[in-house]
Amino acid sequence: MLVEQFEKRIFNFLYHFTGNSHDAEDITQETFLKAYQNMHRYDSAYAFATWLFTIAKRTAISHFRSKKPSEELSADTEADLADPSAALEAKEERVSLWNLAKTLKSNQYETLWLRYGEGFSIAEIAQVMNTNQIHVKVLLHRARRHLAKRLRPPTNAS
Amino acid sequence: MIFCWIYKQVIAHSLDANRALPERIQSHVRSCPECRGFQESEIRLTERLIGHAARHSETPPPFLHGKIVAALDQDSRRGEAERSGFRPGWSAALVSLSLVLISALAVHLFQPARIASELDHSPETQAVSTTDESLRSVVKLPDVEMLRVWSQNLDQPLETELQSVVHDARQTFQFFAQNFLPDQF
Ligand SMILES: [Zn+2]
Repeated sequence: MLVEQFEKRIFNFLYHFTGNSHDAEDITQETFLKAYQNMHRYDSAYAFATWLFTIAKRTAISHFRSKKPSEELSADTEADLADPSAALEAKEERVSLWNLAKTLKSNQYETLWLRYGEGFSIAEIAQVMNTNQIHVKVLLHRARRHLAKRLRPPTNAS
Repeated sequence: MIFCWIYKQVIAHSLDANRALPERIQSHVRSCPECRGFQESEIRLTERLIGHAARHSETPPPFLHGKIVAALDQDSRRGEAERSGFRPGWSAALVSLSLVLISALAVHLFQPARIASELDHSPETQAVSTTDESLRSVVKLPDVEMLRVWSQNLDQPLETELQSVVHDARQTFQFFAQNFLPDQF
């Protein structure tokens, strides 16, 4: 069944996207409902997962738009980790690589997750994020650069 | 080298897109320790991102699956009901109607018996029974056989009416059972 196959992936994606389990749960449920109601619109030329993730992403956006109109979903959280001075080894002990990635801008994190967490292609990510492939490439590149910078061991000068 | 910066961009983009490096850049990477170091660290980062993704996954709450399935089930039932042209308002109206019919039937059935039992104990009836003998002498009262025939004639329309009401009620319940009860019933 589709639900069994995708619920964990969709929930996981939405959990990191929304930042809380309750919203992720509601939007996961809504995503499957929308998918079933619009199954006739699915074009089998594309991967089903991409279609489902696109619905999830759009549902999440409209969920937040109706819930918290003043809250910016793609808030810049880069400032949270202003001090990248801790050594790579020490960081790995405390937080996982992906927890560190969560401190990137949300669209950078999302691109990174869809690429390496979900294994989507650049074209598929562009579809899910409703943008073009060049933008996805730029976001991925920036995400990797920022992450690499944060993972870099401190220099003596700093 | 000034080109190293450009080569690094190409290396990163190739890794992101899962594409092989052009031969010209590959040969540069082989000869340039800086670009080779960059490529190695990028490959390591990619491998770690993929490897750590599973560990980063959140486990959904235990009831999420059930909630999704229930929501889908409810939605499909609602869709079926709408397709068959039946709405909850209609079914409520039908239930009310059948209840009214059943109540009317009950009142109809039990009222004569109640009246009869009240009459049995009323002083008027008792007075009639005491004067039974005197009445018999004046008026010719019907005998038992005549009363039976009368009663049968009187009961016949009621029986027919009862049969049709019972038939209608049965059809209504069958309709409800077919359209609104879950499949396992
Ligand atoms: Zn070089």
